[in-house]
Amino acid sequence: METHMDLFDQYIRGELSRVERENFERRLESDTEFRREFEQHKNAIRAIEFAAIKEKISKVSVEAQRSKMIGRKGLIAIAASIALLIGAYVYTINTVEPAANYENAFASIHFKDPGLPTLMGHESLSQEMNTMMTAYKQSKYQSALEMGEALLEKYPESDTLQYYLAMIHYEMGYHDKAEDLLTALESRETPIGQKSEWYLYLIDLKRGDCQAAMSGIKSIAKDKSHIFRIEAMDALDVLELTNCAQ
Amino acid sequence: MIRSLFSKQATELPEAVLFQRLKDGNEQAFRILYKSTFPYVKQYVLANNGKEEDAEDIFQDGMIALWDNINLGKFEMREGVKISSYLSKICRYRWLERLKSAGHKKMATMPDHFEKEDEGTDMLNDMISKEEVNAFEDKFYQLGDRCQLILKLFYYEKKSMAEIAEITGMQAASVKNEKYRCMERLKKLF
Repeated sequence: METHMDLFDQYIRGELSRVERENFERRLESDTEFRREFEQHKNAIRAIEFAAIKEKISKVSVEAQRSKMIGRKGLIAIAASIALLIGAYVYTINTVEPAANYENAFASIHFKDPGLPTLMGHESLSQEMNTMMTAYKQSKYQSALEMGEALLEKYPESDTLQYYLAMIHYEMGYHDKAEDLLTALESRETPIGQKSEWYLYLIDLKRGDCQAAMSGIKSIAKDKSHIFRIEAMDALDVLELTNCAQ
Repeated sequence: MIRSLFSKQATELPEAVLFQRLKDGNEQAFRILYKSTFPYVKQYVLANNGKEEDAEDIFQDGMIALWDNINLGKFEMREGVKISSYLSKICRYRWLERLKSAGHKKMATMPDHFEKEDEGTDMLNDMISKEEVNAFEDKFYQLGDRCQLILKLFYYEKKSMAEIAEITGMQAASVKNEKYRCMERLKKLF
């Protein structure tokens, strides 16, 4: 039984090899008991997901209610007083450790690229790429890096591969390497180009070059077709509270 | 965070991106839909014998049903079908259904336009109901706190065993055992 549960989870998470996956699907068709067990498993997952989704949705709705009550004026007042407090704080610590401020800003702006779906049927991804993506998603960066670099020799032209290799470096804190890869992709007029641009500015921020980060993020926030526009607007809200804005 | 709650631009995410984020259960995506669609749903419910709480309730149900349909592959991205319009249609339909089942005097029949409206309407009937969602959810909440946490981290947040071990402060091997035990318990409740 235990082996089935693991197998089900591996299938759902896209962690099976092509052959294993095909065997799995064949067994689902022919073995009714296996299929029944799998349906049961999916039902249980649905219960978990419903509970989690419902929490998220009611949080969003409570947030909206609350913001309506406070109103925009109230919020600006709150933001202003936070800015004052932070300003005073920055003023006192600035000479000691100027980077601390950006560190916090970075921590609240940064999010990991969620990676590509590795579920079955994603034919455009080779099996190896799938395995690398799974390692990346599970934050197993060292093995993702090894796989990615081997793959790059095979497919040196793949933007997607270069981009995720950059993301792996970035998550591991190898910002120089990430920067090289992203710079090469930045000018592409694709989602990858836009994502590269965003992460380049985050690297600037991480390094404490907040002027560069801020002007870059501003340009994203103005670009209606940019996929990270909302993230950029949120980031500006955070950055405005740091002494970057001065 | 602050601005996305207010700005008009928050509703301008490309449909394909919004779709993918919804599928992942991303909070920001729900926020965007709330902002773009709730005002219409509220207006509709208020105009049809409902109160603001009803609108809120029907809207949350509608979002869950939408997510479920996307997740089950029943609702797919199509040219010319906006996610927000689809959600709004789900909500209107559900509100009328609720009025009907409550035997409301003023709105005893479904207006014709729902029957005639474009494709997608046929799907409204076999969407998951609020009661069904609650039944699923109740089963999950019968589990202990630790089970709930582990299962949510693994199946919803898609964390690895190692990450869950780090978050919960448990050994990776015991996380695995716990997860197995919790899933078995959950399945017995069905």
